[in-house]
Amino acid sequence: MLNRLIDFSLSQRLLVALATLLLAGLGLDALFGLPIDAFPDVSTTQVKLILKAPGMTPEEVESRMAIPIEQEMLGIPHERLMRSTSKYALLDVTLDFEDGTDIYWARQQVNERLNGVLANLPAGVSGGLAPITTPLGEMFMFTIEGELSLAEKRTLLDWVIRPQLRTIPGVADVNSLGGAVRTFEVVPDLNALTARGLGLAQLRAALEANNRNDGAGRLSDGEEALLVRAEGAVRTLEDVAAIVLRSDKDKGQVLRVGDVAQVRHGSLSRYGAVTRDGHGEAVEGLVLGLRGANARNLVASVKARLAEIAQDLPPGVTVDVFYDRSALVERAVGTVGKALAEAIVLVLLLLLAFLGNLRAAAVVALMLPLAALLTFLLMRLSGLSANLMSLGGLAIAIGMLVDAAVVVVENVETRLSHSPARLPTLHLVYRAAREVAAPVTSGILIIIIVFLPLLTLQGLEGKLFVPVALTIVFALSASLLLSLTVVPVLASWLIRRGAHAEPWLVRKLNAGYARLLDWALRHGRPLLLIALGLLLAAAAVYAWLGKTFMPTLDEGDLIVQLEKLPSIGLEQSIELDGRVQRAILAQVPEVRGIVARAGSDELGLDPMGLNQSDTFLVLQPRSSWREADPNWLMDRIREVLADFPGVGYSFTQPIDMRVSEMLTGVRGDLAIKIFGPDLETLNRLATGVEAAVKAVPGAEDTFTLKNEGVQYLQLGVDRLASGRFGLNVADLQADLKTLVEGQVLGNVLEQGRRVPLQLRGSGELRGSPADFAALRLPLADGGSVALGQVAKLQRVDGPVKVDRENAQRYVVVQSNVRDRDLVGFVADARAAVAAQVALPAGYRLVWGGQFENQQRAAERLALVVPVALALIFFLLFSTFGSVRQALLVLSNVPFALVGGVFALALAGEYLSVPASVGFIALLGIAVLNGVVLVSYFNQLRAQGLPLAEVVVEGARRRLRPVLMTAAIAALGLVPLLFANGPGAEVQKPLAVVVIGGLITSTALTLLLLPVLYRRFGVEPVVALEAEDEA
Amino acid sequence: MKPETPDVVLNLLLPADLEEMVEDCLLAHPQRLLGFVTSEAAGHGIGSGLNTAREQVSGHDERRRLEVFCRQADAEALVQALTAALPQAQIYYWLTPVLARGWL
Repeated sequence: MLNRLIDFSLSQRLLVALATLLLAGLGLDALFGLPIDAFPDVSTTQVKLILKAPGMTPEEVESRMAIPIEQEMLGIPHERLMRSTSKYALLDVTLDFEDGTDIYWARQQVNERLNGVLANLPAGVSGGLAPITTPLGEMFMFTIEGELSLAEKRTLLDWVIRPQLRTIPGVADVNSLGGAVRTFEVVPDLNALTARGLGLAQLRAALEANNRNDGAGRLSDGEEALLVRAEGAVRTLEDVAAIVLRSDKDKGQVLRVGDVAQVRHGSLSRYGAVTRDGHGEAVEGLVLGLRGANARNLVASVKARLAEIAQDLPPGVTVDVFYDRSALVERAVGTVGKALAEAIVLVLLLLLAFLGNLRAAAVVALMLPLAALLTFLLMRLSGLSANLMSLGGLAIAIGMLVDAAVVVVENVETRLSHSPARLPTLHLVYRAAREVAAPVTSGILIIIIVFLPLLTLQGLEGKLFVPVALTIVFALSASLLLSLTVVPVLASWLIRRGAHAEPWLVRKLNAGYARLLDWALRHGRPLLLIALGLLLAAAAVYAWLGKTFMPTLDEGDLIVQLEKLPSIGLEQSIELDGRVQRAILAQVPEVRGIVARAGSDELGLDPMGLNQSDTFLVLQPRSSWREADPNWLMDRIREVLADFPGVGYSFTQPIDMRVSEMLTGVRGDLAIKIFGPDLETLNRLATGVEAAVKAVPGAEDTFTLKNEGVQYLQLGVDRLASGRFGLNVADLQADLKTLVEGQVLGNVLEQGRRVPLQLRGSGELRGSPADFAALRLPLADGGSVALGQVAKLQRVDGPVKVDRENAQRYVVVQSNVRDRDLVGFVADARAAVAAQVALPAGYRLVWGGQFENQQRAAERLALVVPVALALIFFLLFSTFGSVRQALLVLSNVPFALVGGVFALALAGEYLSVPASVGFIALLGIAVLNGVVLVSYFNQLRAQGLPLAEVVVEGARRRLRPVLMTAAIAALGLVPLLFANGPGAEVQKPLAVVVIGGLITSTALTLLLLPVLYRRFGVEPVVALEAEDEA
Repeated sequence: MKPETPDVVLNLLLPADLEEMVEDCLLAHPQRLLGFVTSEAAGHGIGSGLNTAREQVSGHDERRRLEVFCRQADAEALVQALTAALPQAQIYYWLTPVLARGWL
């Protein structure tokens, strides 16, 4: 079949050339049409429910909302995990589905079940399914700057900017944070209500019933029709004040809202705030991208739209962008692009040095762009986006892309330089291509097969490395196809016949190799012993190597997460944020600006407590830093934060933060979850575990979220007393909620803007617990009752939140690891926790975080790599038709890994998932070299050469292609070794492994394989005479 | 004597892998032969080595047969040239006379 393919290509050269041009054109088109983002989409199919219950405490949220919803949601098909976080006034439920589940289907299921339970939830609960976004969704963040009040800025964002941005394709939502939402506020005068014998319920009812426009149908007026419209909607504060509460016909008096309440503009209760640069509050807009959106295009459209909006903004008001994903995308793609370009130049130089023939080098070099274009085409067809990982795959494959072409061209060149003059050039090219077609095909197929295990990786590592593996598989398949079709055609056109001198490099190498090989063949046994010794040494080094999941991707942005005392108020939290910001800005000049958000955002996508804030640092360009190292910068910031006792902090990056949250619900390398029923016990255990882990060497930023210390003012309702006053519990609770939290009773339409109409107690009431205790509640039948008469007030400590996973409560202790490998750290931490913390019955520990991913990846690879080896063996067997030769080539593999292990140890890298990918690539290349050599040995043996000569002659003839493929594969990776943009830290371990491994593997292929082939390569011949004799 | 008047056929029986190498070798001596034809052949009996599983299954080895038209003196020279080029190759040869030839 291969022969026929080559035969066809060479006899239809014009057709092949045209088809190539066509494919290249399609590839170019695909290149410009590919969606581009910084990272692959790592999100699982995840549905998030966000429900807001104003004023409700965490335990109430848990028992009245989380539990009924969880009961309903359990057992949805393909559901993998359900988590819920019950916080003050907010419930977040996250449902993870198995990979590959359709997100719209999953949302449909969740929605159906939610509808079933919605009726049983407390009144006033609002919310539902969160927008379809991913951890990569936060693409663009800005603040609104100018001489406007916070409420005005917020109105501008909510009603001018947000609607405009939401129409852009790919925008899932625009989150508004900070500022104040303006309301029409009705503040009841409780004494006045009491004096008039009115309760809050009547006031509520009146406000609800007197704010509506409606149509009433149609009247006929002669030949015309009149549409009847009843106008009663509130437009101004005066309208609200004029609403009549009660009329006394006898006295001819009316009682209006304005008589018993103050009507004014106010704002909704705030659950969060944004501060900027240490000088006060700001209003922030956050553009969320839809799942699968093209980040670069999206950000470009957002910018264009903002430029349009800028003309309509009030004078002096600007939109100040502090996070722009496209910058990261440009840098990430730039890093890989640069590495690709450098690799291409290096490969060209090498080709020239080895082939000494510009035309031959040109044929091979042409394969690089063609294979890359074909890869882009395949990427588009399979829906892969161009990102750091997929482009990185291409960069890794560059060296291997030309392997097939190199072997073919090298053979064509050799054939054309010594061949009988009478045979036509086309036939010689055909013959040369055919000769190597089988080994090249099986070699490339083997490399493809070794990458297949990566396609089975699950979880985060799968999301990250499947694109790498797929791109490599695409690129290699493209290169194989091109090598058997386009390369022979181009070679037949470009490469001239006739002998030419070998280039200097090859002559020198040949001479040196001849001596070395001679020595090796004479000292077969010692050589074998040396190799085995190296293997043992590598095994020892391997055991000593640290193992970790993945190097952290450097996004170039930094977030400091601050954690203050749980009982802190919003105002104080903001004030503290401001002080931290001023200190950082003053002492760390690398930080150009700071935007921090405390508490929850408007959509509830990131429900933090009032005491938590995400401090986003806008950094100077790295070139202007005193030391261009993010770790160094973190240490400087740690020094600053050390001056703020009682403030806990941890460092993260924008995407990293969201990815960790999505995967485990927590951030950090190691997350220890403690499951159990009682919150107090859980907190006690968490403190114990935290102390144990903190003492383990390598622990950094270890903390457990303070899940207690929130101050509650608890009202124990006295049923008898309240009943006597005609107050039932629901009325009492409703009144208190109205007075403290405020209750939205409708909206006022103001030039298309919906402004909430809110009934709420006065600020003084909320400002003092003593005033609150002295509160006299008006009763509906006149008179009033003091709060203290119907309920017992008590100050108690309570939880910040209640976390649940699969309907069970848990708390988390998390830790990062520094200067140490993760697996070793976890082993020590486990031992420490087991020794120091005694778990009561009904409580259990689960170890997760990045560590969990590492374990899962290792497990999966341990299962799939042997399968791949078996496949390789099968392929080798079908190539050589001999078990012993297949085993011979496979025996090359462990020796190839030796160099990789040593290189990792020398470079001080850990064994991580990318390093494992490197080992896998190495496996492929090592086998390819073995195949090239052994198949040539077989060819020579068939010519009848004696075995001793076969190995010498064969090894020497194949020196050039073997060295070329190895050197090109290694040099193609050198740029990745020295790259330092975002993503470089992922590709570096991979490059280290492959380069190191190629050195030993090539040396061993060239020296050891001839020795082994001579000893084991040939099986005894079964001849008919033998049977006769028997 | 000119190769245009061949009087013998040099028959070569060789392993399929060697076909091209033998052809190259023969083509290197254009003055010694008029031309040759190749065909597939199966080797049976003593002298057949059954090397691969496929050969063992089919019970014969896979060979190529070359019939070279040349003068007898040239045939001997060609055999020597082949022996020199492929010293240990398993090539069997025999000569047959050409009694008559021509185009119909």
